[in-house]
Amino acid sequence: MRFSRVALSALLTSQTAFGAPTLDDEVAVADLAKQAYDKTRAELTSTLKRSLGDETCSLRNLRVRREWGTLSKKQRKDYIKAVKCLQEKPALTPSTLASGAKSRFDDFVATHINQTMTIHYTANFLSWHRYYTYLYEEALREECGFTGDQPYWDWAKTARNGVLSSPMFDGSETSMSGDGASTHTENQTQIILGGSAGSTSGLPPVYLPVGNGGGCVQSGPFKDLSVNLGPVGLDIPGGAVGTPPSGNPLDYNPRCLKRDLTEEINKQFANATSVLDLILNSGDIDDFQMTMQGVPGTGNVSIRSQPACEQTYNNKKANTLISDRRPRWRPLHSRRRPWQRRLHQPRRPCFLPPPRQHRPSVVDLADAVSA
Amino acid sequence: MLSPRERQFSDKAIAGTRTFLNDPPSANGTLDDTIAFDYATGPPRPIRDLMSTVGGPFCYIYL
Repeated sequence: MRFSRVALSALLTSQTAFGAPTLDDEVAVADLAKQAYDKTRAELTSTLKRSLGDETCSLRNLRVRREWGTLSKKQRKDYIKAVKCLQEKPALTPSTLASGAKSRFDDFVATHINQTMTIHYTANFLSWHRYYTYLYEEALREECGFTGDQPYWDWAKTARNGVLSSPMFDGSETSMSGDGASTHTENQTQIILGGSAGSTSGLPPVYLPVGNGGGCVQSGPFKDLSVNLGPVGLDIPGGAVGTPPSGNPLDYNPRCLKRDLTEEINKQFANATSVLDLILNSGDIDDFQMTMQGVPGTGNVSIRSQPACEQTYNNKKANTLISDRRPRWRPLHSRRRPWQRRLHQPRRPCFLPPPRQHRPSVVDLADAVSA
Repeated sequence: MLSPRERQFSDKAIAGTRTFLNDPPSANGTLDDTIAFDYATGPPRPIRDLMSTVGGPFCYIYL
């Protein structure tokens, strides 16, 4: 089993590296999504209402998650406004548990950090993130008056058209803010996942290219955001590892939102071909979720990692573990001691956001933001 | 290929243990395991309730 996974991963890597993603694959992915959409609607139409207690799902209350680029400017602004609202509401997390949790938004980040080692590469990975994204959407709706549906980011689209120029990251008022200021020095040409001194995994490092950012986000709605928690084991270009000043990623560590958007990682790992392969060629749920998260040691950082991981979009940091702190959506690890762990920084493969069946949702991505 | 029902609710619906890459070693997770979010909120729920996007608390789809 392990061998087949590695083999599959090697196959994916070679395909994505040498075979440019084709429009055909993008169309095939869209077809599958449409089939799932139609089938679900038909199921809800036919009597078969699934219910659990008094909760019932029907066509009447069915919500539709749409790609960010398909939303109107008004819809994007409404979503951004709700996220900013959540970032201004006081946290429910007691400061004795996480002094860095200052807002309701931070409650989500802190929870993800706190549970990281039991929600990635685990049996609950997909269901945990599904529920997490749902609760985030519920908070936007119930606490901040959001009336839309949770949007998502179609990575295959930005693999073809570009991340930097995409509606989600173009830095405009209707984006989730854009790239960070350019800060890389001459020796910061690569992000080295798992390669720094202190790595205990025994696995070969993964080298990823840096972008042209690395500093604070310069424009857009989250230009002035205070990132309060983390970082956790952040791989900084050149090989250093970012850690929180106190040693505890749940402590208050306010700083700007930094990013380093790169096109290469998205194009290589999260293109339509790799998405399609994941959906059609996974032998079972184990294969599916391992490929999605990135099989350790194969060099394939995984579909979800790419876009989502901080390394891609977040700057100088390649934060694998943290991820949820950014507005893009939110959502680390340590040897558990709930609410107190010190991150023992095991350099692990990048993991990230949650996926529902195939497309990442913005929130899912939340899982990915960073430090 | 699994049927939707098998894919969501049979013993083939989930795989893996309860710890990151099974380190430290732990038992396999089950559909009865509880997912809880501390102060992010939401009632704790068993994984079984969270296997369909149109069942349990969920009612959404991607387009």
